Amino acid sequence: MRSKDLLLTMYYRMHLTRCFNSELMDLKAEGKIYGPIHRSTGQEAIGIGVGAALRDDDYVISNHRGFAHWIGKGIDLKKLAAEIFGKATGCCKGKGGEMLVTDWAKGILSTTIVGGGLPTATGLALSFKLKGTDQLVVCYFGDGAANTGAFHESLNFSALLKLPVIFLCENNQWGLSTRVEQSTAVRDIAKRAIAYDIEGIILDGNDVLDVHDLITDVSKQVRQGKGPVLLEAKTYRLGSFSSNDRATGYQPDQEIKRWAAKCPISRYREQLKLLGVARDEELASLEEKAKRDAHEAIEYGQMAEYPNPSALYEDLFV
Amino acid sequence: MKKLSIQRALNEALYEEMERDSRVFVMGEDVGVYGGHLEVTAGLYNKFGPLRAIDTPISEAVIAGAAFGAAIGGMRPVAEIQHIDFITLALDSIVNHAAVLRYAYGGQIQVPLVIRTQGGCYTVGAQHSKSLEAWLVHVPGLKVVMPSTAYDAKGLLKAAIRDPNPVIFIEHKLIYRTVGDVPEEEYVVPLGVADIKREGNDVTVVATSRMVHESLAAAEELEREGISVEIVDPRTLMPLDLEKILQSVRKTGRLVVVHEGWKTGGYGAEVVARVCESALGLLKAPPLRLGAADVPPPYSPPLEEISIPSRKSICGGIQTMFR
Repeated sequence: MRSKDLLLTMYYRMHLTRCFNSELMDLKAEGKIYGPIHRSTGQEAIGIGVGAALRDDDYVISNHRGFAHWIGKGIDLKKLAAEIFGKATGCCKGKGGEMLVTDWAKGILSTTIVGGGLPTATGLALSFKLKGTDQLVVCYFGDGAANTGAFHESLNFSALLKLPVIFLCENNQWGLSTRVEQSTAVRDIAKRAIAYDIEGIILDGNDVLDVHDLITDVSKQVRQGKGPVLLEAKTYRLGSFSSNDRATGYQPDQEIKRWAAKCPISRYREQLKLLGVARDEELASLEEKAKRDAHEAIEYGQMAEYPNPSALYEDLFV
Repeated sequence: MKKLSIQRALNEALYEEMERDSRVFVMGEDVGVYGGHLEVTAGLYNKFGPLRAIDTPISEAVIAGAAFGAAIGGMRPVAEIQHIDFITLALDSIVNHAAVLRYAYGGQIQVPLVIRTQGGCYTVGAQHSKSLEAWLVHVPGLKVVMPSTAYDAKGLLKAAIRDPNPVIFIEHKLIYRTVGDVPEEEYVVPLGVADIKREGNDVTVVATSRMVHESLAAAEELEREGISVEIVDPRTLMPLDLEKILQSVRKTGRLVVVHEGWKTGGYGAEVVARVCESALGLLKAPPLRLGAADVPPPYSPPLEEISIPSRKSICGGIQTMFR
């Protein structure tokens, strides 16, 4: 049974992700952020549902679209904001930026090139197996990364060694401007699990309760050493790829509208009311708090100091 | 002292480090049951079992990537990429992950990773005979080691395994059976310290890997002509012990660099540039670079022979400096 506290924490975190990402997208549009911001709108349920189902000592490997992954695993929002502004008090001392956000102590890391997270997750899971712990890794990647060679090599190797890793494909249907049907020869990416003789499961990526249930369930078998699973969360990127997307109209308005009606946050709000978990006033106060917290963190990030020039050569080697 | 081949010396280093530290393990193609395609990992599977001598599929991206992941997870992986030519398939994990992420994460992780691979000519043409060390030296965040003797091979591999940073350890297929003295007792050769392989007064030769041996042979020949050659083996290309090279050049006033990598953009260019930046005035003659011909490694024996530096071409090159 899920506690009310957990259910409302997930609601707050989904809102926090939406507010935080949207405010940053706006600031980027005003020219107030140096690097890109990747849109997480519409994909909040996955990272938040996963994070709430994991233990503190589990790891998530994120990618370039990581806001929900990071917030779901409990990142310090001020350190995150400072990192995005390239500041010394950022979680990576300002050297990583928005695509490499990492808070190792919280079990959060992001890797570089699309698909690069999969071999890394495989190795981290290998370290858990060799050390004999029952930790696990959740490796997030998109439909685009599912077509890299690293996907095949990682799933094959992880399956051979029965490594404790959950490969979680967020199929948001667009790899920048390329539709999944144009890039991917199979309708359901989860079907590729057959090639590695592992379980492949499709889930509704816009339903946070489904996500939370499934991760809670499969993490038991993964911890027991039964090997990796491949999950495919069907979802949708509600808008442009990132702040740098020219948005030439490749993404049809009708499609965006249809998926906006399936917004994971509005849907969860209705579920919480129907299930009698919370009433409008309580939910509204969480929404207010999320907005306030996001804004405070962003203000902190903007005001924080840049690194000193002496930091240039620091932390290359141990 | 005992006599060991480079191959056996490397094997002893792996064996001893795996006994010393339970976090050390080897992984790669054919490294387990078979004992390594060139026998360097022989016996490890039987002694330490399948989870410490892990046979992998032919999947270079995941060999390097999983080794990186295991390293940040607290293990001490020694991954093997069979032939440096195949490292092209592993470069995302090496160049975009292992070399970068400690820095990009502001020092939150350590990457105690060793990637062993083999470079150099091997009678098999462009498939397996390239020398790509210059690429790797170019990437900040990697250390690059190239041993030339059994003593160095064992001591440097142990140092590489104990180093908390990513190390690319480049062996040479044609000198695996070259025998040398190795102490009975435990020792480590620190990274970043060059070694004078032969003392001399007239010309400094900076040579790497198998080219140390070709240079030693050339030095013997030149000695008879009255040219005294000093041979400096950097042993680690990154970090480079520039001071030891400069000390030698201060004495001789002449600099030759010899390696099996291509001459254009090669490691020798870096050595020459650094010496010139620090001590151009010391040079009595223009520096000389000897590297592979700028062509893919040809298979045919007479073509392969002339495509890389040899005793003969090193002698010829040095003789021209004294005309």
